Amino acid sequence: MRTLGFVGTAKNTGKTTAAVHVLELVRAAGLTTALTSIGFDGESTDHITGLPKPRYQAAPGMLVATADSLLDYGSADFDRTEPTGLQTILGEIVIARVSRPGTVALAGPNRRLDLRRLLDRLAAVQVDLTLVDGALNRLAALSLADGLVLSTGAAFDERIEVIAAHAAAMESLFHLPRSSDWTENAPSLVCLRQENGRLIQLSTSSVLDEGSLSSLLSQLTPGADAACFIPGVFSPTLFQTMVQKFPDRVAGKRFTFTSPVHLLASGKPEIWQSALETLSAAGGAAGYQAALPLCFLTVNPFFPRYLQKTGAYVAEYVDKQQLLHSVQARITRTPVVDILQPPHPDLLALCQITPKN
Amino acid sequence: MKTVLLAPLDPVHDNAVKLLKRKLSEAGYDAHAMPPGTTPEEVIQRALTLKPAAILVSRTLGYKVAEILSQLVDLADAAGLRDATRIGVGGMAITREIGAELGFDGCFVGELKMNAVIDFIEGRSASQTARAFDEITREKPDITAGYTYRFFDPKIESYLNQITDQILSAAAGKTTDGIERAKIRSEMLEMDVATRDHRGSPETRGKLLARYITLCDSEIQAFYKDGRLPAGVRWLDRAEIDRVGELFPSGHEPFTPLRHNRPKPYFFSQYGTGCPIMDVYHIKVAEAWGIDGVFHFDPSWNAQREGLLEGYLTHEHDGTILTLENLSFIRSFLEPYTLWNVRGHRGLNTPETQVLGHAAGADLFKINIPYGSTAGGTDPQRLLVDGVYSLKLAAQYKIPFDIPGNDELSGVPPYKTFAGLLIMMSLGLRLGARPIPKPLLCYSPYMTIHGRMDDNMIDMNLAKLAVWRDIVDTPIWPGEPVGFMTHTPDRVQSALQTSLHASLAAAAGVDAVTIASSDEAYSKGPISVQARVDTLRAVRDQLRFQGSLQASLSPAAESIKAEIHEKITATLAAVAARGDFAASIYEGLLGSQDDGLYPGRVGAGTVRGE
Repeated sequence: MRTLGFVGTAKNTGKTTAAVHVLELVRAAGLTTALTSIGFDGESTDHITGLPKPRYQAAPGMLVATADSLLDYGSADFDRTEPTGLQTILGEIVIARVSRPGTVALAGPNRRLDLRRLLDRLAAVQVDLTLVDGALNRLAALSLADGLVLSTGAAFDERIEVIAAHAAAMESLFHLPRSSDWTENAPSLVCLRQENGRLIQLSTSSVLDEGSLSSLLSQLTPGADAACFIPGVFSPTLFQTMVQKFPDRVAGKRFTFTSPVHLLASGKPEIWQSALETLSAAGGAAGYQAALPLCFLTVNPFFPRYLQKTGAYVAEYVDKQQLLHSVQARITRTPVVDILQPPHPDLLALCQITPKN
Repeated sequence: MKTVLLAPLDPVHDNAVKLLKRKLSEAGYDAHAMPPGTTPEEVIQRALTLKPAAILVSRTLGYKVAEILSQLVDLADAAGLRDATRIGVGGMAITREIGAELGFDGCFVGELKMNAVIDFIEGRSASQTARAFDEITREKPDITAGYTYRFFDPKIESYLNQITDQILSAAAGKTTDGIERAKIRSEMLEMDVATRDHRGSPETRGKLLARYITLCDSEIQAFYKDGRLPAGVRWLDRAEIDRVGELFPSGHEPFTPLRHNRPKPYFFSQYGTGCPIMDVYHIKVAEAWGIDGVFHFDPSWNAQREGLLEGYLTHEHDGTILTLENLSFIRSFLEPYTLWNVRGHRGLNTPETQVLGHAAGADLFKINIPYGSTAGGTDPQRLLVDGVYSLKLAAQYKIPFDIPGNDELSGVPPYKTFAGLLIMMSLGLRLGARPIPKPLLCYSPYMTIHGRMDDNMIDMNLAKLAVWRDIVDTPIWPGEPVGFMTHTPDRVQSALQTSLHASLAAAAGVDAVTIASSDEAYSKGPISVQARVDTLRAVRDQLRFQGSLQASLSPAAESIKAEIHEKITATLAAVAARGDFAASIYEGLLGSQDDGLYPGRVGAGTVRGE
């Protein structure tokens, strides 16, 4: 079973639109598909802006993993539901098979541990492909996916140049190589393996403050090669400080992060991009324990504008052509599309999905 | 001791975090609060050190705030914290759907409920909480529990005994059509033929109903014989009835009382929209906002006809028709702990109302002979006989009865009304029932005409409550509703007056209070559910404002109390001396025509020998 995750840089950047579009393509391709979300999706209007939102249309035979309280939230009917024992704020997640087509609402597992359990169950029932809708800017749980579709747009920032720079920085993080230093049985705490094979372990999984950075720095011996594993998150600002202030200590060090989403979850991708370039220049290297391909990137010119006078949000748009071309100009290794501006490349092929018919 | 990390994730505000820290510390948790302005990264780093059972975030939601909250969740997941640490969020505009979208394990919507917070930290589900709460802490209250009904004033007790003897003597060997109908209804219930969809013998029902019909007014007879409905009444169809059940699936939030930190008073409101279905909506809303009990109010014409209708009936005017089907339907939707009062204090169907109320599961009755036979419009002689029979039923059913003092609204001075309440108490106690007097907190015509509340509304009302404590050990239940005649069509003003009166009563240590909706006096028809919430909300806040403060009487209030006490004694002396309770009412000893009270005439001449 393949798992495809849809993530966004912010609310309203178009990840559900992208997912709904891919779902249509997958349906036509004849694959047995399951659909879930790490947040809440399927409402007809946005919780905060009150503006209309796209809704998922589920076809007969499709499996939907959602909170049991939401089964009546859409127009689709279900003929079989199986409890999972996984809990959310909105109730227990059930796997339901669609018997009559219609809209569905999704609230699936919101943490990585639960998503892994759900994906294992779906794989056991012969699902070909599971689409996992992200939520806002949340990424961490989707490190379990086999590929990601990233959506950005004017809802993240109304300045096209900012959107493009941010998207390019994010995209660049997906191109770090897979590390061979920490492939199996990786530790759960920050570790340093020295050239002589000695393993040093810190007391934290992550580096998010000056104290933990100092602990790490104290173990980085200048002039010596070493492999460092960061199982959790690393503040990009602190990483940048480290590589800028202590180039001699990072020289010859190979930093392995769990996945690209662990970097993205840690902070601004622009800082990561810059810091990793500095690391490289200092003679260090970075890679991932597990690579995660970015299949394609979507852009969305929509953004909600708040009107002080009425206290309501209205839909506004930046120039869609300019947005698409600006982002495409900055990102050359990953296809960039506007779902509402066809034609598109073969999106299923980009996601490494093979049609059955 | 479990550790909890509290974070405002707000640049300025951390009041909720400070409050939670104090309450969680008091509850035995190791609570750590982070300051305003803390970033998600700092929270996660601290959590990696503390390894808390839960991280609780307080933040008002706005645009772009969602991303900050979800960043925290994402960081926690990426840092490997979420396997052992639950993350919850609360704050203005947070809903369960938003909480789910942001990826939180729990969210706290609306007012802070510490039991919900602790359940979340402990990993207990909300449904478990609700069940445990209901099973352990919320039982149906007994308003009369702990009261001895011992009289502290021997002179008053002596007069009451004399008057009670007179009443029982006057009622002895007498009956009415109302009593006979009640007996037939009881028989129908015993034979399982009391409803239209009965499961008993059609022949038995036919015979009993035939006897019943002979005791009814022509309009009621036409209903049974020809199927003619009174004006403004229609049948509810099955689909309408069944649909209501689908709207209220089982399960509910834990009960949250209006009370802040006192065990009493219990709060009651009336319903009686005319439509049983609409009544259910009103009751469920009132329950959700913390009401302890509700009254069934029937149409005023119900009290002036011999005989009651039957079946599921809706009525386009105020007051819901009293039938066993309607009562049972409404009762089935009440929470198990909600007290339910079926009033039958004033009309020609008083005994039968007790029978049907009991059959439907009533917890309280409402019976008042002096009020029903004056302001209620029923002939005193008739209601005396029916009332005695009804009190016997209340004793037999072990159902307490309350005694509204609403004749004050006609202009009767409180001491006369209170004398009537005391007579009803004495009579009920003699017959084995448990009475609850209901002195009215109001701005009555007597007060306005005589200027007795020109300066303030506190002294008189407090004196009216305090005088009871000097006379008898009894529960006290101001009604009906409090603040009567202070209300205006302005809903804010109306809710405010109700809350002020309710909180004054609470500060005086009463056992229960009846409150109106904010449009009750001027609704020109059924009240609206929004207006019902107005006063529930206002009372809750007023009680919160007041806390456990206790009211004490000013010298002026002490003086009024003494005056009322003295005049109650004099009134009872006069009634006792008159030697005929019905005559005392006819002659105005408990409220005269000068006061604005006239003896009722409906049912005159209908008392006969058994």
